[in-house]
Amino acid sequence: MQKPCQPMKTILVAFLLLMSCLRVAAQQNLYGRVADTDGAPLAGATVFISESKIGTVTDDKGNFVLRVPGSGNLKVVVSFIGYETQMQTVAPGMGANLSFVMKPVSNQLKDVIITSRSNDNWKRWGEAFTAAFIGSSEYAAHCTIANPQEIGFEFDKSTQILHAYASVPIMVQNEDLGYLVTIALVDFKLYTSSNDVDYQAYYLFNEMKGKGERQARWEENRRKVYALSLMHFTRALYDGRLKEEGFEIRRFMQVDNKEKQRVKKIYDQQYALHADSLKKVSDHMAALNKIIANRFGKDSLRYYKKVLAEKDTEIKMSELLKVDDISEKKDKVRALSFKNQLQVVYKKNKEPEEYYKFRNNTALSTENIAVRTNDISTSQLVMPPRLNPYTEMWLTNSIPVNIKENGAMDNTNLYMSGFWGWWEKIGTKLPYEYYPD
Amino acid sequence: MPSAKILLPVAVLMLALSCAFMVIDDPGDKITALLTRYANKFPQQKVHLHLDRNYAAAGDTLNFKAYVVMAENHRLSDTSKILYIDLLDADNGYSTTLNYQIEAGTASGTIEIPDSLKNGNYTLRAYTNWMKNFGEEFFYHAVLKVGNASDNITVAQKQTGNKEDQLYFFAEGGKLVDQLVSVVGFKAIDKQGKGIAVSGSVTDESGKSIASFRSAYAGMGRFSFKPEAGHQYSAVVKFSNGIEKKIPLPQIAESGYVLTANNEDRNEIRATVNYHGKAAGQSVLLVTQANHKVINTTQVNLVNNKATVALKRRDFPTGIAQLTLFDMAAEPLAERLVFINRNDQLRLQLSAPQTTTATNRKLTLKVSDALLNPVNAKFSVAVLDQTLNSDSLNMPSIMADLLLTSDLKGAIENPDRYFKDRSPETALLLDNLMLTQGWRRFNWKDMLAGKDPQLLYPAEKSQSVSGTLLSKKDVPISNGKVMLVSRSDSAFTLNAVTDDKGRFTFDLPLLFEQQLFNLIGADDKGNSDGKITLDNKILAWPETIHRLTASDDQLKKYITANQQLFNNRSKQLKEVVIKAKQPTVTEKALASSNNLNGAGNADQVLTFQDLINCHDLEMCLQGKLTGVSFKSVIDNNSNSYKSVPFAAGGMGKPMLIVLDGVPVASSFSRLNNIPVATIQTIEVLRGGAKLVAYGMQASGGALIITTKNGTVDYNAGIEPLRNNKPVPGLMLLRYNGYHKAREFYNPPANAQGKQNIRMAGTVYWKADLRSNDDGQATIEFKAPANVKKVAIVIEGLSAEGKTGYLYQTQAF
Repeated sequence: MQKPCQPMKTILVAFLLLMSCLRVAAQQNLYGRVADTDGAPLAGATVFISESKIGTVTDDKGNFVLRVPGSGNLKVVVSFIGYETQMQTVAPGMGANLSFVMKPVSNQLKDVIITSRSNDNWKRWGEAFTAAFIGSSEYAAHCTIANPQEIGFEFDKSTQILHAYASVPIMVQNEDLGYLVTIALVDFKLYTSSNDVDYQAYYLFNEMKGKGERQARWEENRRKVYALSLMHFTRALYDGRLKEEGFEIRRFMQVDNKEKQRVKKIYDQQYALHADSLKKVSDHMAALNKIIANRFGKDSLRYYKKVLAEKDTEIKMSELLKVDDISEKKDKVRALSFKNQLQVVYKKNKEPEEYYKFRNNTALSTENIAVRTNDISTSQLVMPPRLNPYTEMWLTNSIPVNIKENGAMDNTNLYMSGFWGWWEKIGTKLPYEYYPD
Repeated sequence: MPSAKILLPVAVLMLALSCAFMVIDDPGDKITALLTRYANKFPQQKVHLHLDRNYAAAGDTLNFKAYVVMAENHRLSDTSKILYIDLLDADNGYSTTLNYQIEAGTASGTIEIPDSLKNGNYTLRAYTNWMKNFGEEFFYHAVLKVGNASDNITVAQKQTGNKEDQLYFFAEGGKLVDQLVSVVGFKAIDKQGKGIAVSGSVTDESGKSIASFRSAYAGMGRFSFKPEAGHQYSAVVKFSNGIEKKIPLPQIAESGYVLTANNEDRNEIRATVNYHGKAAGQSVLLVTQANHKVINTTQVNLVNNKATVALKRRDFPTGIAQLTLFDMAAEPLAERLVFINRNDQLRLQLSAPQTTTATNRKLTLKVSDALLNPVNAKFSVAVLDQTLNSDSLNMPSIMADLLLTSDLKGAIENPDRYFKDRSPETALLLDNLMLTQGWRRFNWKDMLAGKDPQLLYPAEKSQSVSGTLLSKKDVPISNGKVMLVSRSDSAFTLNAVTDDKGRFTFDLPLLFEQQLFNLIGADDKGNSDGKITLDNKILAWPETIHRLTASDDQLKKYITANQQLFNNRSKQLKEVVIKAKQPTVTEKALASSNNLNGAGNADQVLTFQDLINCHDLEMCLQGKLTGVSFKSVIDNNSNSYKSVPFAAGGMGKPMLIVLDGVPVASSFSRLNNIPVATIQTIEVLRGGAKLVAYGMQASGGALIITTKNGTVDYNAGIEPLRNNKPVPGLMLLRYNGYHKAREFYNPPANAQGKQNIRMAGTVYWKADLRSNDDGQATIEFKAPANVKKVAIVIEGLSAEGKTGYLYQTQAF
């Protein structure tokens, strides 16, 4: 993947199909049945709309009813112990009767989990998995996975990829945000060499019950997390309120080095003027430099040489972009479409302390090796300032991403590196029903 | 539209164009266009004052900070440069107007309460010239309770027109219709216009009870019932003071629409339209707007004479939303106000006070937005001595004022009650208020008829003098020359040429306090036998709005707590009275001096009268002080020369400057730092026994400077205008420039020496506190040892128009 101007290691997060357009205009009931491949009903299976608070379990006959908002495509997920997670996209007004046929998980997967458990692989991989999946924010630090023994790991030495599997939903209690998150993990890959992570999962949020100060703390934390979230950005984009909400977008551009072109022109002119005499000498360049030094002075020559050593094009940031420069709104969807790479900066706050440390450690380990070898301890270094959080994003194959009113995106084509690559994890995830007012 | 009808069949491609033509036919677009036009043509301003107190003793000084904002977004407005503040008492016929310079939407200053003022409830109102176009209802109003120690402290309650308690009914949406269950809001008020608790029942003409009701807060409440045409309903009411009454309910219409709004859901407001009548109800139009902006227009198609529209709360800003129902001919049918709180105002947090010295307190203010991001915003801070007072101040906060009361008709009692919490109970009280108080910014009839308010008062960009030049026979002189000559010490002349109506305008430079001008007018041939008339800028309107008054307790406690000081003042005045029946201006001026040797006991006394036409205090005093010489010394603060006074025989030490009883540190002491216009008296102590009271630091002599506090008529010494006999073509004008504020003296943290003797009350005032990019600001003040409890009131506004308010009491 072409990624110009990458200042640091990137973490790639593929964003999931988030299709719960939660307009409250009208509610409808979704009916369905869950059965195994033999047609036998599965009772007690978890049925939910991904990334929402809407969920239920099937009854004795495998039937379920979901009360859902009446419009927008919905991602209905069924998860059950020992079966592969199933998902169906339901268009508005459609699918009054859904049918899910659940396949048992393969024996191979069961073996992985059993082996993993007996080898206590959690001890070895749990930390890396948690950092990649739950995150390293202060909120992630207060998340607990209730059933880590259900997660199996497989490490491929040749590719250096860590795979994680779960045959039951992973249960995460987020004590800082007040959510119990049920996660159906479909796929999880951690590229240990680059620290990139690629995963697919579905989430059901349940609000924890709390009173007084505890509830107030959750509400406060949700606001803080929301401010920095990708959801905040996509909603601001949808509403055309980038400036009001504090987001600045710029594009990375390749621009011609105008000064180099000017200097080249001077050289060309001088060459043309003295072509005859220059032809007589073998080292044209040295002779031309001498002519230029006589004509423009030695200081100018020094400067011209420096300019000529520069690259022909350089990467520059564009002016601030407006919503309509990168997207188009029609029919309750805003299509985000852009070339090259965008940089999104949240101007209203500084990056969190943990990210600041992460960012600078990464920078130190990869770019400032020279400093380290000089044996200067980090405390002696002048620490760079805390910045506004910024993220670079690009589209794979230039496929536009559709953003719904609630900020949800409809496909996985938006990739990002930088702040949101680090931040957008379970520890800081909010359901799409969440609004701060 | 015939043109549209011709175009339509021509080509489908023209459809878009024809839609544009049809705008006029669509009632929604018509209303939107009218509202947008009105909002653009008549941008509304709002003024909020943060006053340090709403009670004062005669002779006190009040501090204020004014926030002048645009109503559409509550951002600070830069369109007007002059703020007017009136202090009025209609009962006593008292009225005074002060003007202040508005800079970038804020103004701050002081309001001196003359000590001749009688006890009373005074109205304080603030406005800009532009706001006068829309009437007094839109001004900022506060009731100021003034007590005079020599008067009886009890302040008489103002009487409204009401002879007795009243109860008013307000049907939701505007009217009651046969067979349609309706909510009825009610409000009971007593003779003073204050809410009074009531309970009662609704009966029909046969006396059969239909519904019962009980007020919930401030005399307001609601009940619902199903009215039937042909019945006469009335309410049997019992007021909390025991009085019983029978009050008829509004008439029941036989047919019509009823608009109800349910504002209980967190995400949406459900507006329901019901119709009853012989024929089926027609489609109607629901227009919602907030801050003069149309939020949406929805065509409502009734099914079985009923329809519900869900309005997304997130589409509205925090504040009052106006829901209006129109028929398809754009005639309004019903209206309902709802308050939408997006919970998005600034959050203010104050740290626990640190005690840096025995009396020094330091607090940190943290400001954040709704998402807990740090916010850089402007604030004003008042710290009040609450040692004896436990009541809250009961002044509407900037939030309640800008978001609620400024858009509602009539007075709102204790508006901050409605922002106390986010409970359903509070929301219901607020909704009761919405049912019973009308929207006031415009009236639909005029708006839809395209009838505009008359614009008589432009937004003032600078101080100005305008008028008309007339001939002897009162004919306007066009192309005439008018010259303005300033007679004050900032001498300048301005010239203007009259237009075809004989009118002229002078934009004045920045001027403070009273200025004397000569205006000379002549026609284009130089004949100057005409006369000049000036536009009357003083608002002569009577006070038409009655505002609710707070209890007397606050004022009583304040006066009692300060009885000692008031007595001293009266005593000083009395002593003067004994010496001479008519105290001279000098004696009056000296009465408030803190000279430790006794007021006026000095080698030389100067008063404000000696300082008229004086701007540079150092220069002025060099010619006026006897036995004092001045030396030029480099001032480290300004890096320029300053003149420092040395008394003859002062052994080479500079004289000590004592400002309002507080010795000023020599590094700060520069005479020119004291605005001349604020000085009431200067007492010169050159040597000898008089210096003993001030100790070693005064060994070089002392200048005791007392600033103005409203105890004297400062115009008394100015030569009377000799305009008894009008001189043709010449006019003498006494022009009031911006009122110069007396700086609230917040003693520096390390101030030594005797505490300033100030009226207890305001311990600290700061009009211009700013939070930094991290959302933090430091508040540091001195709390004298006898102050055991303070109330800290902080108000402010962010650049985005979000209000900030904090009221906190703190015991020491």
